[in-house]
Amino acid sequence: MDRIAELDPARLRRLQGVGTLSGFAAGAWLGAAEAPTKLVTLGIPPVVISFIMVLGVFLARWSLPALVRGTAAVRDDVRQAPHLVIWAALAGCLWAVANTLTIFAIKHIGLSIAFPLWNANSLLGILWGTLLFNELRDAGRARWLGVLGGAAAMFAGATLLAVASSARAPGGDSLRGIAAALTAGALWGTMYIPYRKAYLTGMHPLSFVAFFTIGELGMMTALALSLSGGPGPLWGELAKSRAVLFWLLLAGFVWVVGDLFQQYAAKYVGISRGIPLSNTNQLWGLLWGMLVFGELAGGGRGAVIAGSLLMAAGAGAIAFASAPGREYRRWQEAGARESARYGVDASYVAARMAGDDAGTARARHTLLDWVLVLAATAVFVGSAALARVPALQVGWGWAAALTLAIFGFLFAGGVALWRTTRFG
Amino acid sequence: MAPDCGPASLAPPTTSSICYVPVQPTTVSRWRALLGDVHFWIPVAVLLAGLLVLRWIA
Repeated sequence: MDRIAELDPARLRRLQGVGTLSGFAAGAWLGAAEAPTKLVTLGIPPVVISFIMVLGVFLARWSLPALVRGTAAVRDDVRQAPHLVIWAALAGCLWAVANTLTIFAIKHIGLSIAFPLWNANSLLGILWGTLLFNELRDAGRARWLGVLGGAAAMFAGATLLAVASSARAPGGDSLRGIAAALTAGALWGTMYIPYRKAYLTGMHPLSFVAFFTIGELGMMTALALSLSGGPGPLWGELAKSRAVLFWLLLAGFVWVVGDLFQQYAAKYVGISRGIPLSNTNQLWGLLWGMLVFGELAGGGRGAVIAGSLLMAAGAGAIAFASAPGREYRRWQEAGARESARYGVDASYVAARMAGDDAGTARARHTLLDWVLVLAATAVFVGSAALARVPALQVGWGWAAALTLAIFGFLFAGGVALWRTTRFG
Repeated sequence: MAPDCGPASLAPPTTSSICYVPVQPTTVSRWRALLGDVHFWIPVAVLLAGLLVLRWIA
């Protein structure tokens, strides 16, 4: 391993900076994805809501890569590391099962207990990152403390926020609820193994998500069919939901933007730091609920402020505990191990790890790309024509401010990624 | 990417002469490499456990 090329320290700092910014942008967009779902009134089974959101995710995950890089670049990536298609689909399956479990967890034990339980996925992410991918190795005590202490502070903050946002006590089976929430956390924490595997082997985030979503939609369809009682009842529920189809598809689309940033965070700061940073989505989700939809008007704001401060402090600690050169070298060793195991060209892996991707700069679009973009646009426009705006009290001023904030993150994150890596 | 890096496939791969690290030529197929990778079985095991828990709960 003595021939691993040293990465320029200034370049490493820029990559770490762009990864950290991507983590915060991911939190903002993943949190905003909850807003359209709040416009959906009751009466639709949760599995159907989840299924429609995944449909929106699927559309976004094929149209955005087609627009930004072109499907030809995705094909090139697959030629380099075809085994990652299986890893990506596996990650998608993990996501779909975890998401469905959270529905049952909320039903049985309520959001206040369930959310912190599955948010423990960040602690599992630190474990996998350290054990399997050399993350935090040779990082020094201060950075260990920053990441572990930050994750613990965020966990405590998340617990406070979840307790504050709990609207009512559920009357379900607590054993099943706790099992569901813990299993969802285990699935989500383990889902980052394929993420990290992909980025240590040089796969582009936009290619990874395109195959991730095949596993996601396939598994979600199987679960929705199974839990709804077959194709007939599922279709009936979908037809009944056409007035809210647009809002759920939009939620899926917004979620994908957040997830793309999360992918870049996992790539450039690793999963041990990337997962806790993107878990700030809980904070953003609460901001939307409180300021735009008037939740918690009856009290509980003190716990919200305390929880928010804890989460912000934890995220700040992690952001400042960026990987030093000696830790990055251990990442490179993990990347070299992957390239040797799967026979992927080592120079390709090293270049991609350092954010060097010529694919986007010379993106070429084919007819297939435009067909994908037009088809996704047509579905969104069609569903918007059928959509109805529910009669809800909405704080439009705050909605505008938060929308501006997430677009600020999109702009800052997009510019930083483009300048540093050309979206590589 | 190095200029002489050829496209990869699920067939036994080749290695480039321009490398950052010494890569041992792989003699097994990528399928075998995947199935022999301990890392692969961790998410598979967690997924199966998740499906079992879901079946029990639902």
